[in-house]
Amino acid sequence: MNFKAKILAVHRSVQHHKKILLVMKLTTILLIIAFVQASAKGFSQKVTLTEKDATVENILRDLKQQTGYVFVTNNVDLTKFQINVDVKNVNIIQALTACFKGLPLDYKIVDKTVIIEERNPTATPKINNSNVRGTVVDETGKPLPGATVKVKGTDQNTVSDRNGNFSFESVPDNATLIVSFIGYSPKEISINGNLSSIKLQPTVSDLNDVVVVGYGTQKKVNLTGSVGSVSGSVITERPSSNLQDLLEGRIAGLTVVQPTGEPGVDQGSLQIRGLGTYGSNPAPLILIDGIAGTLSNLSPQDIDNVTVLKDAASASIYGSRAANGVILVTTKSGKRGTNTLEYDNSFGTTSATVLPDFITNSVTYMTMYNEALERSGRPDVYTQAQIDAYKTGNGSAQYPNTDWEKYYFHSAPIQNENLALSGGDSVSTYRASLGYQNQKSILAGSDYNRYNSAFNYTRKVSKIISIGTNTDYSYENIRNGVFTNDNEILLAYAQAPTFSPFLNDGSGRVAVEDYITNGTGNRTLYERQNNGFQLTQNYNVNSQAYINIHIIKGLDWKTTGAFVFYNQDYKFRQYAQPFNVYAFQPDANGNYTEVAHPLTNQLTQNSARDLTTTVNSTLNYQRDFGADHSIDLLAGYEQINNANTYIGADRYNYTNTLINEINGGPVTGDDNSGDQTQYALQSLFGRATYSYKQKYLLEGDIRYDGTSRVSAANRWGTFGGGSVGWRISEEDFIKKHITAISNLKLRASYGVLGNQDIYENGSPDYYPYQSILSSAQYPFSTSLSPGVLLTTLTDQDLHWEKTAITDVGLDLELFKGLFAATADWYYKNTTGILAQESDIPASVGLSPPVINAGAMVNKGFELQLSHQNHIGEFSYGVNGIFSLNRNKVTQALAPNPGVFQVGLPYGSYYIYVMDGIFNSQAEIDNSPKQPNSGDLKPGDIKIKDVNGNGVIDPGDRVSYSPYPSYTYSFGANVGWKGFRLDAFFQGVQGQKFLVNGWGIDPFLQGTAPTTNFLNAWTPQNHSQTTPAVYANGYPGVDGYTSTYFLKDASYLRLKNINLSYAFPKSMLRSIWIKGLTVFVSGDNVITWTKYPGEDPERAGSGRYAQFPQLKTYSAGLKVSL
Amino acid sequence: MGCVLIAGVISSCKKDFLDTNPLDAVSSQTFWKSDDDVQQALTGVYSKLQSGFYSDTKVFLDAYSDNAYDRFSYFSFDVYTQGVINSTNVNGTFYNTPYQIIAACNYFLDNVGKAPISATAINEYSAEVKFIRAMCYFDLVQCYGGVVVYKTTPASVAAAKIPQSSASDVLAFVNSDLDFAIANLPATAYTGHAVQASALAEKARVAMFQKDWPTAVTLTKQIMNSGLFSIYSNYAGLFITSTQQNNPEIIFSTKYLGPNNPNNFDLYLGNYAALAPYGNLVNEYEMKNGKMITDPASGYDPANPYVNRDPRLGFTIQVPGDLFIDPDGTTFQHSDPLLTGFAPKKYVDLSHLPFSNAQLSDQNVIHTRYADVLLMYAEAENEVSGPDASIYSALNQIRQRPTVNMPPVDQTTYGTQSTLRDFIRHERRIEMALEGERYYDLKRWNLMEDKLSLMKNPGGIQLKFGEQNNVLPFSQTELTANPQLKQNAGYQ
Repeated sequence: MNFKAKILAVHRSVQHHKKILLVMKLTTILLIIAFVQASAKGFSQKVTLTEKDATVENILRDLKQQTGYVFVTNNVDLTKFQINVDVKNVNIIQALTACFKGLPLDYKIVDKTVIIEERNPTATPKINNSNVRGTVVDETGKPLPGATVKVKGTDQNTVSDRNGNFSFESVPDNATLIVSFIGYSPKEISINGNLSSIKLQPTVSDLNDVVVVGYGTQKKVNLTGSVGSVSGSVITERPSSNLQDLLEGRIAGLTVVQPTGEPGVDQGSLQIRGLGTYGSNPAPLILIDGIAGTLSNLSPQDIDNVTVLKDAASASIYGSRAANGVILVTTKSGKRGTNTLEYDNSFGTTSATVLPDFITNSVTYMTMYNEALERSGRPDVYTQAQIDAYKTGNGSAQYPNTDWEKYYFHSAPIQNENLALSGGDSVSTYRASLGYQNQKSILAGSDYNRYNSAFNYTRKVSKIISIGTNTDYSYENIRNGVFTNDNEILLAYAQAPTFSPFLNDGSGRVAVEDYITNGTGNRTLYERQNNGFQLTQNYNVNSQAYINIHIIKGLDWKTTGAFVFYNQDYKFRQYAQPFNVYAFQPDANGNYTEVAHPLTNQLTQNSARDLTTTVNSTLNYQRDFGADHSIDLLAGYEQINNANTYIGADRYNYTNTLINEINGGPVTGDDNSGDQTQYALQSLFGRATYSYKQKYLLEGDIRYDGTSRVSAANRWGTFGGGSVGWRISEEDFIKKHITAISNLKLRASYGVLGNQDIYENGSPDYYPYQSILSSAQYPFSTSLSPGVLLTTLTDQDLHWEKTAITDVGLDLELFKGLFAATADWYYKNTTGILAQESDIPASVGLSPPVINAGAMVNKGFELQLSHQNHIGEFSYGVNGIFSLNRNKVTQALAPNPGVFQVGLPYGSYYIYVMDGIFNSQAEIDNSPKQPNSGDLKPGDIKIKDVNGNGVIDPGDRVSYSPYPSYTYSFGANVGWKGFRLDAFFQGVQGQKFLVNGWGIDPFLQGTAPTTNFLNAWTPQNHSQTTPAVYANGYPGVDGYTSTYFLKDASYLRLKNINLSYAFPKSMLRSIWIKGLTVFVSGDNVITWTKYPGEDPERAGSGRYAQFPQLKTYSAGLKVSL
Repeated sequence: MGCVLIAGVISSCKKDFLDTNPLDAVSSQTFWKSDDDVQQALTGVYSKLQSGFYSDTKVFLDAYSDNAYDRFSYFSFDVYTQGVINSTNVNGTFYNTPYQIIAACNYFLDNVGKAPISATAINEYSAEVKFIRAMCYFDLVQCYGGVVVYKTTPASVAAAKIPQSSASDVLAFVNSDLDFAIANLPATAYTGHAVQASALAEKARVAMFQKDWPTAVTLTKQIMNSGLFSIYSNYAGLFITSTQQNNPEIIFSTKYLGPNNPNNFDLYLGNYAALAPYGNLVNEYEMKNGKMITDPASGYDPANPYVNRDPRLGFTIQVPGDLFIDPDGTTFQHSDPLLTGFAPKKYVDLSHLPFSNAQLSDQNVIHTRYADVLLMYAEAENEVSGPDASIYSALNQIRQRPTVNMPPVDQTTYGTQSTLRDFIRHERRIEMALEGERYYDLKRWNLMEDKLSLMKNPGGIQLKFGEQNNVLPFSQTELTANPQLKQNAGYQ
């Protein structure tokens, strides 16, 4: 190999006066003679050397101590030379000239580095002895640290320091400097020009932005696929602990549904461009720095950017894992030319966004309950005497009007602290960070803690070899009560206002119902909160290392090895009964009656470990041919294997609530389980892009994937896609005539992707093609023989689902970035969706196989608009995202009319239509026969005879889509001097949820009705929206599901508003601080919705009772040193 | 395939990198690697016998006859015996269970060749499985006539949708399986695995069904001459676990072994008396002197109807006055009123009293026993040659079992082919009562209609049997799933 010396400039850190000397020697293999020495004293510019027959090494060591220069050699064996030198108070050049006099050695000084080479008689460098100094500033005149300054035509380069200053000790005469900085247009300037304030202009346009794509990066301007991205700084404007929740509304086409606000269990589900499958995993592939992982473990503060590959062409490089789109997360790394210590924090308080408004007046509750029971044909719960007692004692301690929501829900703290050390020089970059996140729940008993650390290091080992490593570690410690989410909430709801948490005798004993005779039998949330706990501890390590070999110009060979390790320890502990509980009202003798509420005394413990190892290797060749042609070729190999192991144990009837370990419980009745699953993937892939004059863009991707999850005959498959782009703005008719258009690009792509993450009944199936034998036994003699038995017919030809995506997009940019728009239309067709055959003849004698049978289409439209401008020191911007998706089942193996049927969205609601409320018996008699005509009364829901046949039958049901009509978000920001105000709105339109149970079903397990039932239908009040109050189970209302239970959950919310102030650098410089920003932030501040009583942002249909989203107010600071 | 060696850092691309297999269960990919694997798969086939009418519920088949009543409608026999059976109310047990066992057999036969064992061993194991498959297909023919035949596991659901074969084609396939079994099964006594006699007896049964009397005679004679089987001395003991092991009379059975592999005989028959014997059956039992109770000389006393009867009555049926005494001396009471006044006793282990709702037992379900072989021989030989000494000898062996000890057949009364035929049918009903054979026997004799029309169920409803009921209807679900399957005549 043709190793050449690399100039390694190790720059001096000014404030710490630390110097590193690295003498590097490259022989046939890399041999590093390095000695690192820290010195507190300053360096002299003058050198004094007196040596006789000294080795070069000793001389250099001496010189380094005196000057701080770094010495590098190229394949020179310095030990064969001896030096005699005697100089006093000379500069480094004079000293070196004296040293090497008569020796076949030559040297070159670059910044603070001396390169020693064997003399090449033809190329004696011409050295300009004068120092070249300069300062790089930004467009406002502020110093720009970290800018790269290169001497044109040489290998010499340096970076500006924290004050924007740079210097070269010696450069060729009349040299030209090239100054560049990310986000700014590079500038060339002669060393004879004015270097005291080299002003760089920011590239307003984002056309030069680089976007992360599969196994590499691409200039945004060259993209032909549909790719969305968001930067880490935007993500962390909100204070949430979960990265996936922070992506909500940030990327067109990416749907994030945060199911709940309960810390630790609030991970949102991600979906790109609609539900892609119901037979395999519908989740997108998530890659963290190129390696598959999960988002929830990452600290948002460690994220540099998130990119979403939405169309088949850009995602097809990931082949059989990419059917549902790909999310690429890039973590932060150090920046060259900086050494920064950053600390940021935020402290906040959370509370429920909205809670149902229950009736809390006891007398109203008791009276309504009796009336509702009467309506349902059931006996009263409360006697008149009991109601009278509450009437008389209204609100007293013995006859309270308890608002259980007030009692149970509190505001809770959230806290986030991060420390990061990062930086880099011309050969290496590093970043190390630590993060801590703590969030308590608005209900007692939940505590979420996460500790993160990340380490990222890259180094150029030589001119051709660079290496890097990257590790994220996280530890989560999540403590919850025995119930979480809606299971917990409904207990808070299902309490009568007629009793208080504790008996009114001051004994501290716990009350669980009002009268022993009337009790609902429910445990209270307070009991449950003390009834045990759940503890989840998650450990996650993502670690990788790579080596990149720069073979020839334009050709790089990069090999990465990685492992992702995940360990979860879960413990569930439930006590039989933590304390005795009583009815609130004493009996006639003043005694309190105990209520028995025992539960299973149990400890369950599970441990799961998941290890994925990945090795990939890519060859990448980038080259421009002349001015017109440029190509980028990528070829790669990847192999992945995964093993997932779990073990679980249960024991029961512990004698002591203090014992929470398996061994502490009795062996009798214990139970255990354990298993390991494995899968493996092996792939070859490639990409070719070609651009002609940056005008016509062409890309093709291909991946040849093999998976262990499909039979050997079918396991290899080819996926691929292609895309084209036409930058119309590069055509002369625009370039010359319509200067307002700085970029106009038309894109089109098509590709086919696979989904090897095969599911069966909602959970992963790793061996779907294999005939798994169940165990059996039979006694041929006097003992049982073990046997195996085939019970299911297996489809040997089973293969992955395929998703073909067509995408047409347009990118437009006006006035060099002042306005930008991106629009995409897509058609996504998933075929071969796995489903279990339903029409198997019984004569087969086996359970039906899962086959590739279903098909589903998602088509949609996405629009992204932005406008960013500044007028002097005032800057402002607005941006908006709009996404629309339509889902349709196109092939169904076992259709379910109205719900799962060709032509309808998957999982539609198929329900009766509410047509008001019956006002009279006559109206009932004259209306089409209702499903429950016999039992109907005025005040019941009237069902519409949709097909007009005079009878309400199942044919009158109507299908409603469970998906939103569209989603949107928009943001605005204004800045003036150091102040910045960001507001982010997010909305969902046309989302409907079918709800039931606690909070909407009056008196379900004693749940007080919400206050809207005060205006329910009565013979006097003919409400047409709220039926007469009934006790749970009255068939005239909930005997059949109608649109009464279908609630419009459309909403628009001010998701976040954030005000920050960055102190001026001039003010901070004197106290050695590079930057200081303080902020206040509000999350989920205002919501506009018609959804009744609860937060409209929730998971799916089902129980109305849901753990609310959180409103968070926080403040914090960010300081960098 | 797909291997590119890029660098030393990538471990060489192993051929089996993508071969992962389940670790908590065996699969076809990892199985069939040894004799032990084959034996486990064979065990799996046998284990399927513990289902449907091959299990302890086999005895309930007598409720589709004049023998007994399905008290709790476990198998909807009310529908069957009232002749109102159709494609939507037919019970799946007749159909599904044999096909599930056939699926297990086919899976075994499809794969056993992969195992690295000798051809002889493969043949012997296959013979057992083919015997079981033949038994299932034969039962399907007895119930439905022509049915769909799979000789191997269908490759897919679509491939399984084929028309039924004619009954004679199915029987030809049954006979070819049985011939293979006879040729390869060991000619030994029965202990748990099918033996040659199991297959011989089954083939004889098929011949009887086809009225191929000479073949039936030959096959039954082969068993009789083998000397491997004999009438067991204790009639009641035939149906009790402790005396079923290595019993010389049992030729094939479904075995159980408590406590981990139990059945519900003591629960269903002992505790619930779910199968209620009809008085019609009780009346069939002779007096101890060998005379029918209708014979004025029999000495039958209607006031004491259960005394001096064929001892097999007392072994088979709990009659009024026959008390089950719990160990504590109290009398066991059935949980519900006995609708016919009688309760089953055969297969009930009275040593397990007191019975409870959690009662588990492990009596083996007899499919073929030597007495059955002798009865088949007697019936077939009588058809071939009319009465002869060998027929009386065969019947007397059964009647003079020590615990039964009935007088020999009265050769003067039953001296013609016709009278002897009736007597053999009578003897068969008594000997095999409540063993689940009566349904197949009555259909074979074309007597279902005659016998059921004499009966009312305990609710007073007249029992009926129409011409079309000689076969069962296929269920509508099955006809929908397999459009190639044609409904049997009379049910369209």
